[in-house]
Amino acid sequence: MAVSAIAQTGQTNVKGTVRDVNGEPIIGATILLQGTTVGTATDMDGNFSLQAPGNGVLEVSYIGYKSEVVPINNRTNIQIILEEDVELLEEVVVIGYGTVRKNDATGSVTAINADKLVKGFATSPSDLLVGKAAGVSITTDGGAPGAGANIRIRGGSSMSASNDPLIVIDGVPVDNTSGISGMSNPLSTIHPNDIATFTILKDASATAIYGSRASNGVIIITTKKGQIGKIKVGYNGTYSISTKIKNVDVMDAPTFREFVTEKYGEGSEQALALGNENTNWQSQIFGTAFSTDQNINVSGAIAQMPFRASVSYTDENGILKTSNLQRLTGSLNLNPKFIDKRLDVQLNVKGMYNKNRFANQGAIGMATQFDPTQPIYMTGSDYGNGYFMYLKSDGTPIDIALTNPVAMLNEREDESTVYRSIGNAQFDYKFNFLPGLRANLNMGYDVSNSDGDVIIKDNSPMTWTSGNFKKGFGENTHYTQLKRNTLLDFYLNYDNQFGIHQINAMAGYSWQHFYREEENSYPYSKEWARTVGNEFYKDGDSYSTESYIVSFFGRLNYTLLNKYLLTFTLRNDGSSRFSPENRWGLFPSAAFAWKLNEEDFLKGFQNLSDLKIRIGYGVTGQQNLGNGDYPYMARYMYSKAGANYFFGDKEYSLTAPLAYDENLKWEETTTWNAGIDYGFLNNRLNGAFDFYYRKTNDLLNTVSVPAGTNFSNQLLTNVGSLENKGVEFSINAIPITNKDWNWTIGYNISYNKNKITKMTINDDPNYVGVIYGGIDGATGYNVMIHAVDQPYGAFYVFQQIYTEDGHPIEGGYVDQNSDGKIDEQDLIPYKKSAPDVLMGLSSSLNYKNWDLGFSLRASIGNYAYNNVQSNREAYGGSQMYDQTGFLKNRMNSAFFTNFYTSQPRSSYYIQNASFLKMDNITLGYSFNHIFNGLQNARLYFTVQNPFIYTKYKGLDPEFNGGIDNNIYPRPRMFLLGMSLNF
Amino acid sequence: MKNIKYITITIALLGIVLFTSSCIDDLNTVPLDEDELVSDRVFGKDLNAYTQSLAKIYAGFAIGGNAGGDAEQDVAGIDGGSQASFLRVLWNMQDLPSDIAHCAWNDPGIPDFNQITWGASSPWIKGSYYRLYYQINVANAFLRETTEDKLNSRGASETLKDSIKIYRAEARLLRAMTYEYALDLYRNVPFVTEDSPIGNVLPQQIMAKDLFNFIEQELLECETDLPDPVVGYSQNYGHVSKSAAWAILSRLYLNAEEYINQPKYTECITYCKKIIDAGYQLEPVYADMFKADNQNSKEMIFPIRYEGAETMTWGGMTFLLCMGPADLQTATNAKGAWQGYRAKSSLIKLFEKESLSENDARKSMLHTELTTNIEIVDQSSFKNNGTPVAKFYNVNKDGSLPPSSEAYIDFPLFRLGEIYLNYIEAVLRGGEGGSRTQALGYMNELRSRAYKTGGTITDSQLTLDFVLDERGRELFWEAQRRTDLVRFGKFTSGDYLWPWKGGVAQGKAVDDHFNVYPIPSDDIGTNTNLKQNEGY
Repeated sequence: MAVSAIAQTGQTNVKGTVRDVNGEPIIGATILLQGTTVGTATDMDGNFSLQAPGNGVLEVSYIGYKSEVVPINNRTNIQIILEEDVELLEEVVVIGYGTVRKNDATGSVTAINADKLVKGFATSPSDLLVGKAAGVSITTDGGAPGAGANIRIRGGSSMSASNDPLIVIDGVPVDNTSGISGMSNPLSTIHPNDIATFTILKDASATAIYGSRASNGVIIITTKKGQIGKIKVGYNGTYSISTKIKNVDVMDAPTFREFVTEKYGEGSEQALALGNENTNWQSQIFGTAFSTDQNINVSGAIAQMPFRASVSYTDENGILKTSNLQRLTGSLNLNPKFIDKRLDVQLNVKGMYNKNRFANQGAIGMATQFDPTQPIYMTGSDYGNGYFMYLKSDGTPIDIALTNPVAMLNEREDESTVYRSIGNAQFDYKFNFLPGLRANLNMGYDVSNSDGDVIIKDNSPMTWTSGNFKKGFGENTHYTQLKRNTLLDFYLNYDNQFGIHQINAMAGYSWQHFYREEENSYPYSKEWARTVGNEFYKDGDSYSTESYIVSFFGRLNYTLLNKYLLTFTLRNDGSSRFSPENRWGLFPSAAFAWKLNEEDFLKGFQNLSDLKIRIGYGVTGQQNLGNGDYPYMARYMYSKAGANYFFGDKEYSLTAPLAYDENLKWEETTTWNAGIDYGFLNNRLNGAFDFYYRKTNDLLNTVSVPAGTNFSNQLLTNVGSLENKGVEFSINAIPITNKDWNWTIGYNISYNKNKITKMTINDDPNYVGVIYGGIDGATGYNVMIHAVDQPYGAFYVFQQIYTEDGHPIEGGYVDQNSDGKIDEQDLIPYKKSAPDVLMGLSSSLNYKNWDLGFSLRASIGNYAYNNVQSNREAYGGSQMYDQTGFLKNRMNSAFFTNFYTSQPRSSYYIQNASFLKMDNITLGYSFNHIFNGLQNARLYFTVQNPFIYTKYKGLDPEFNGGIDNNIYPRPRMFLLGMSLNF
Repeated sequence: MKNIKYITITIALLGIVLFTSSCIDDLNTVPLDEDELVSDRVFGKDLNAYTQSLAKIYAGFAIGGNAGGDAEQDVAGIDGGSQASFLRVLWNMQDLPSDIAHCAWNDPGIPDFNQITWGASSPWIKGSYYRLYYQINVANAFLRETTEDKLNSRGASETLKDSIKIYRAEARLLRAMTYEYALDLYRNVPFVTEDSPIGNVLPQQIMAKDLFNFIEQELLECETDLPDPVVGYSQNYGHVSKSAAWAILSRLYLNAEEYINQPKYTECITYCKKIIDAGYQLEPVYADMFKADNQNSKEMIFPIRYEGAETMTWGGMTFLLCMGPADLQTATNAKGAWQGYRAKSSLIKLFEKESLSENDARKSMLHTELTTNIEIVDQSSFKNNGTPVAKFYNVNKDGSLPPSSEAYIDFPLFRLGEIYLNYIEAVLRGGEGGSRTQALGYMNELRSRAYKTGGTITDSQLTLDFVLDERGRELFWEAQRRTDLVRFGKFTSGDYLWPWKGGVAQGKAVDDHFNVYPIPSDDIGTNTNLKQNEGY
């Protein structure tokens, strides 16, 4: 070694080569001189060269490999070997009752690391998943704070039973039979920042292990845990402004005046009902809202016990005035290990305190119907607390009139307080005498306690126009709910490798109890109580119910030569909801996977890191039928307040026999799935392709039963069948990665087609299907149908005939059966509300310290019934003018449509609601090593809902149920956020 | 050491087995809530449970469900406050397709009633049919739970059994009454009794003749166990008594020629006389029969009772109060004014046929002063198209108000006025056991009650046509008219036309098959034993 006199602070040219363990050069590895911004990258031969002081330290890194820290030690030629980062390639994925390496998963499983998601504004875990996984569709109920979300995996497998997937949080399956009173989205108990991973189990070979609750897929959520190491503290804060994106296009005051006088004449009764004002009701009820979310978390280890604790506070205001959500969540994870680290204990507790004020969403529909020529306030009347109301000529309120939307918001307080806690204690013990044998005991609970009041001020306009009494006293409701869900899981797991054979066997037992009690009471306001002398204006009611699930399950994984994998699972589920004869169900599944990339003929391909073919088959059940916990029993119900009969002076309540089907059983879905998992260039490009076919039998349907045979004319019974077919494709890529740039893209696309194949006991040609979907503005008309050979959720309307220039002809419909008249026989199933294709694209681009990310989403083929338009166009009869003396506003499209009588069941109102939407764009900047305590800081700016492209004429094409009516619009949000990691 | 290990493992395994087997027993749950019970907990030795079950049958004629406001509705898939409200749908099916009333609303099925153009998929017809069968089902269930064997197995005392005997007769009567309505509306219907097998067996269709015989036999049999009639109010008011059986029989026999082509007018007269002999009397003022305190009326034979918020429904009497004009809402003490229903001009003309009709208290219920046109020109416009009617007043006889504007008026399902008219018509049609003189006497009693002065007629004026007209004048707005028109052969024929009959403004004849309603398409599809009525 030539010891030249190199000054301590002098720089020399340091060269070297970076190779992997096989001696192959690594191209594009990053070499960074620690503590500086000096760096370079390796070339095509893995060589590098840079100027550095002899006592400098190099940081060498490359994706997919463990980073190395190499002190220069005065060397001028350094050979560096990087090891593959096994963790990344052999990612461990949580599945039901255990974990599996991603490479070895035989079912259709999507694992998502929550931190890697491109995030926008998220109040609840469901907000994080929107558009991120193929086949998973998440539609929020609108823009209200904490709005609930409708999650569907592969289209849902039922018609009248639940279509919600099973959600498991840290091993505790959450009760999805009924929501939590007072809380729109039960998932928002967990702060999105506390989530570590989502695992979505899609096909039956993965979900069958959950038996009779698994037909709609399973989402497993794990929360972040502590790590051994130094204590880390993190802070995340966001501040946001929400604004309304657009208004429903209703007439303004001058246009409405012109319309009314044009149709009826200057001195007509209708024209005389116009007012003199110019009020934009939609502007009055919406406003700009400010929200914030603050989160602090601490993780690390105390005396070798890893822990993580977090606290967060959210205050979210909605753009509909008076809507608000405040939430305090806390979580604590402890993970001590005992007995030589063979006993792994996990204690997780999550708690939440949530206060909500729900704004009166009826005000949204009312604002688009209320006459814009009327004022908001009025003086001189005893009625209405100063808000404008329609009055008869004698000064008393018109009881069937529309209600002042501003009053609907301000004079109603719908508030709730919810406490919730989910927790579990898991003990995992590795046996000494038999290595490979492990026992796991998990005990969990999920408790919630809600309390709410809906209070309407006395004498407000609502008290004269709605409710049972219409007498001016506020009809108040007080409700409480207690839910308790306890779980005990136990399983034994044996893992061993015998030569070329690898075996993993698991057998277990699970017991879960669900309990719910609710109570409603109806108090007068204090003032009325004093006047009337009674505390309650009608009797309250209460209800309590419970159910149990007991199961035995097992799984066998066999791997040969690390190339051929076989999985069998079996679960025997017993549910207390069914009669003893029908109680137990056996749910098997089998899957086979072939790791092609391990085969000799493919091992040579350097660039191929993963190629696995999977085939799976499984049977799952759905026991969440939506008709209570005792549907098979012959029961009697005592009547509630308001239903009695009198004999003489004596009042008797009533005892009614309830309709029941003692042969009721769960719905059963059989799934076939075939898929390919692929990965290239060390999984720099990876993804999956799946094809599936699912058939649901014993589909529940409410069918007419012959009159006289049961205590109702309709019975919920297992009669039908439904099938779903589809294709999913996903690709994740890192197109660019080098010292300065890094770009990650994820794209997924899925196609689903469903069809109802059977609905009744006999094939009755006269049976059209289940007609449902009531609409505003026409009592008794329903516009949706589930029919045989149609997708479920199809619309049921008359086929509209148009003039040459596109005007609909009023009452002009296609006479389908050519019988010369237009009646019920001419209604046809038409289009559907579910989409054909869903796509999601997320991109994350990093340049030095900057990052730019966005999420884009598309839904194609979904249609919607525009009830807002169908109920606000016609001008004849009592459509626009009610003969008691008030007018209802119309949409500007009324000029074009020109209907005299409303035509609610016309295909004219079924509109294409396909859309392309950008969910969020984020621009952020990270600061590294600001000072010694602060590891890094990131400042970012996000726009949520920047744009949406759609042909739909309504306010927002994205909503649940197919009928657009009164949706709480989603706001555009501008968010400034900061995260600090110490 | 190993031994201990194996022993520990064995004990642990045993423990697990015992533990899990006890947990499996958890799956046998029973409803927790004290308001939701399995039948062995409902019925025991206490009379109250049986009374409450019986009350459910009665209540089904008044309200729509098991909770106020027709919530927890009895008939599934149909609005409990409208199409499945017994009284409301019966009224719509009897008074709309006749010369009496017309409704301006566009709700599905209503225009078809106005015009006699309905089909088997009408939601109203479906509601009516399934409401009738709900009543039959609940009555059958009650009878099944109160057999001698069941009562003995529960250790019922003799006093309990005696009370139940009367209850059983009541249930049988209510069931027979329901079948009588089914016979009148649908003729050939599925037949179930408490002895029919429950479950997957499809009921057989019973033809009109056999159904008539069944109803007749049931009424004659249960008559003996029913209590004697009490005129006016008593602590038993609301329960049926012998007079209810007689009243149903009188209606059944009067229409026998129409139902089964066999005249039974003599039998009709027999039972009319039994009622008249029991001491019932006409309410002195006609309007008082339809007021909030009509439970005291001596004319009331069997009511559907309404007691304000305790029997709260949007159908039934609430409907009869609220269906009219806003102008009369305060006077009638109604809680709403929905402005849909009005009288056709043909009803006005029924009154104006009579000289001095301006003295007729019944005619004054047709408020011609509130309309500019007694003809209905625009079917969907309420104002000034036809005449608003206010027959039911939710006020007491003396003008005082009941506790609230919830309905307190009991609906007179059977009253003496109808019995008089049945007697008169049966005599005129050749029944024996009565006399023309007596018939004329009753007719003049009815008319004198209605007219301020005068109103009586002579024997030569007493013809069948006159009886049909008088039935219209006396029983309008009481859910009776269609049956009468059918019996007289005037419902479908071109002999008697009224506005919008057949869908045209002046009226036209409609096909005869409309004399009977169709069985709803839902049941035709589900029960393959049923054959649809002709023409549908």
